[in-house]
Amino acid sequence: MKDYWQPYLGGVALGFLLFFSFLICGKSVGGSSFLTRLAAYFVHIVAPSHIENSAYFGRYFAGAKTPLNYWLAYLGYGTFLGGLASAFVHGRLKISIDKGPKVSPKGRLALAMFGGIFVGFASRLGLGCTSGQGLIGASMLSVGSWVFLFSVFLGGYAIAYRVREGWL
Amino acid sequence: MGPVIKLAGMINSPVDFFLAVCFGFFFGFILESSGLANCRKIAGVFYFYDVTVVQVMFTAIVTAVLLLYGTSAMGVLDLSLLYVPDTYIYSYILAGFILGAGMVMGGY
Repeated sequence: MKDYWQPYLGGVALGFLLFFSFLICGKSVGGSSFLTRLAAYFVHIVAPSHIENSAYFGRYFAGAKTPLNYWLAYLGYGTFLGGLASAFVHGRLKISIDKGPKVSPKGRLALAMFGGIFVGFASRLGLGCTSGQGLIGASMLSVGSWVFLFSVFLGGYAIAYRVREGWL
Repeated sequence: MGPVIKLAGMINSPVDFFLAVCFGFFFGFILESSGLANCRKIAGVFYFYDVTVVQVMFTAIVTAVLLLYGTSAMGVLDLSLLYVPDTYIYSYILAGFILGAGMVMGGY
């Protein structure tokens, strides 16, 4: 297993990627909207009329559109492949439950599920996650995005002590 | 001159979507290579044992800001055509707080 890149080097590489994506396509990375649309896609398979009439998700299907024919969805496929490729070439590709030493795998997964519900809800409320708001909005010097970013750290530090068993 | 695809009227064309896959690939590759796909590193920020995530994120933001505003000043890139999330301050404070709490619970 090889070491991770030097963080500042990774940061510069990421900054260049954000820039070139903006320069060429006029938009850049995001993670949560792909997952929202993926969820809508799966719900549409089991309950099509329900989701087409939903106030929030209905627009993904308006005019015979499909939710995954979307720029950030294609970006999401690429992200998955890129992460997979990097893990492979660096010898980190394995199935495991990463966690702190004290917590049981079940406890870790339960915490992950609740955390995921929080993050998913918040990403829709905030129109983005740490990618779309944190990286993109902040790079465009959007005041709202910086407020969001600092709130993320505040929220994390506020709750960290309560869930320390999961990590320490 | 930029954003190229937008000025060429090729938004949501197959070329645009192909570029999205390419940018996504590099995005995923860089994140994994920097350790940002490792939940212990992400959680580490909140317990001060590993601040990689903060180093990578803020270096990326500073790099992108310099490139975006530098090229804009040179007239190469029109910033007004780029995507910026709308601003809803109170929603963002609440959303950020909940997202941060979820992040330290889930690790991603």
